[in-house]
Amino acid sequence: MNLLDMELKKIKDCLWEIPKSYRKGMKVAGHVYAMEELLPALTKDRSLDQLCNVAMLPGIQMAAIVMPDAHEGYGFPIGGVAATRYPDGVISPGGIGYDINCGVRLLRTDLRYREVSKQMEALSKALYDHIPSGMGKGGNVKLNMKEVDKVLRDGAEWAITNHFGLPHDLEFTESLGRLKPADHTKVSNQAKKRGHDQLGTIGSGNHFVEVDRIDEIYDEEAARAFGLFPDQIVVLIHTGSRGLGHQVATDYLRLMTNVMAQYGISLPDRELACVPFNSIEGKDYFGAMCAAANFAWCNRQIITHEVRRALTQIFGRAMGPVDVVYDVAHNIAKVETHTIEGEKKKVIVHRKGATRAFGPGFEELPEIYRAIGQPVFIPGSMGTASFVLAGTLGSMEASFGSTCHGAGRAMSRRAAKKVVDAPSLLNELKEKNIHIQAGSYRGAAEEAPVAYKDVDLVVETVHKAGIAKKVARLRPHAVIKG
Amino acid sequence: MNDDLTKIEFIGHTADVRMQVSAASPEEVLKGALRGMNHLIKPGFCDDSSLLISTDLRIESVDRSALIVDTLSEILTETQIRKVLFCEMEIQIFQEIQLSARLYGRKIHDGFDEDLKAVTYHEAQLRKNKDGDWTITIIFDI
Repeated sequence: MNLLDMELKKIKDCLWEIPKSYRKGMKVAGHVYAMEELLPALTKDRSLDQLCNVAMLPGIQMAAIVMPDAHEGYGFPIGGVAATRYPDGVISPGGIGYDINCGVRLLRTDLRYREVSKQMEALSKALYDHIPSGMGKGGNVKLNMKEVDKVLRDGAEWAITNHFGLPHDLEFTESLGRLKPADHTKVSNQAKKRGHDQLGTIGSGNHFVEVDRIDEIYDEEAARAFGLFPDQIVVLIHTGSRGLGHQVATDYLRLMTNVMAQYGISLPDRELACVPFNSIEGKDYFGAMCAAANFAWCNRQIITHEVRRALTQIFGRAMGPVDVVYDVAHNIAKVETHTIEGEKKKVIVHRKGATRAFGPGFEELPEIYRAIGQPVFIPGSMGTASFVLAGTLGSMEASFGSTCHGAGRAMSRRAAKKVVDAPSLLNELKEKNIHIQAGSYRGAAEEAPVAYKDVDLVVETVHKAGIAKKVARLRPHAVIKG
Repeated sequence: MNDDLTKIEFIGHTADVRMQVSAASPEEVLKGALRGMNHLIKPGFCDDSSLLISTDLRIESVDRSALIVDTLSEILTETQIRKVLFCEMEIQIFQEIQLSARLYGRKIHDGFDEDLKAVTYHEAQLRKNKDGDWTITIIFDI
């Protein structure tokens, strides 16, 4: 049955349900966050079909959830959230994705766009010079295996110790930039070799470094707490654990494909391969995944250092501080406590293309954010807008403290290349004072705004559904892509 | 990308790359899938016949579909680590769950055109199509 033909039951504004009875084997319902305008995009590919498969995971709790930016993935849909019972529910590498701890960091400056608008092109070139894509060539930081192990253990702290940042950067990073269960001995040598020269690189695909101006504030109190004001220049960094994380996921998916039958687990898609969290393989994967997540935080910290250097090169030391607003993952699994049917339970929350969005009162947050909620960043496409949101108590009740993570692709890369003339696109954007530095015309075409959903609708959905609230809108002016 | 015996097609996928390979035998499907993967990483690079680097490969998997995915994964890993594109594969053993092969390739000095993250198991089911050819779909995470 096509999911368009079934009745998606409307639970409330912007929230739909696929009943548990829809497909044999579903253990919970599917919850779909979307304004009606976004439903056609969600039903035209396999996103919701994949959501139903996720609902079959052993130990899954409450509901399998997709966000409004969801699109077809492999196994899990991108934009999905699944929480499984702790400690005997499953952990699935496919529920985190190959790019472990892909995430977004926002930096703020004291610069006003009106004062620096003419220097955006020069800034884009300086950033491109400082931050390599690392595609098959590696980056500027090359580590021996012993140092890689330290990065896997210490995360962003390694970068600070080695002078790639400021100590207070860590306070404004999810989990302080270091997951303590990380176990570098569970990361293969192949993974370490893939990552040893990739720190400080962004990679390709939808990863970027982007200079934005804040063009609208929706919530003045939250914006003030986050240090944001109109016309301010800010920098978004979007990347993850690079080849190291990709290899960790590859290694453990293969392992779990081989052993899951021993745990009596059978699933409709091998990319959902999983084992009980408290099994030997589950513990090993969690240790390796945490290590890869640490590598990603270290990567974004080193890129932060390079962004600071590029900004100083263009604007001089008098430009003032460049501070981290926050850094948050959107591909990760974490053990968290949530209230499910009125009862507090420990669960393993898988977020694959979904951002943690914890509400006010969360102790890990820096004190100045605690009354507001956790900052959340939603990058749009390179010619549209990005958003700063704040986590809410609503997300804690409805979506395991999670919200969307981006605009969400609507068009395949292949189709985008067919319809987008990259040189014309880059010229059009330049006329709007948006300067793109891309590794190739092909890469620029694939990431053109037309390939993405309307980010305004995506953000409006989560705002109306109460699983995050709008704080500020950003407009891009310089974009660096691999 | 096609020759008389092997057909390699790239089909739409919302975010990643979906490739379908059809050939007369599972071995030829695997060789075709390697050609397709190399084409994504560096189009045209394997047109040069000077393959100076060789390496041996031994893989065991749960079945033949997984064997193809795991073999491509292992080669992708070697490519990523050594910055070498392995253009030719000499298969010594290709059984239900076991493969032994020698790969021949050469070094890439000017980076990749596409940074493939992984070869996924999603939709990877080796089967015979209506024309009697063997076929498999491979989705690459990019």
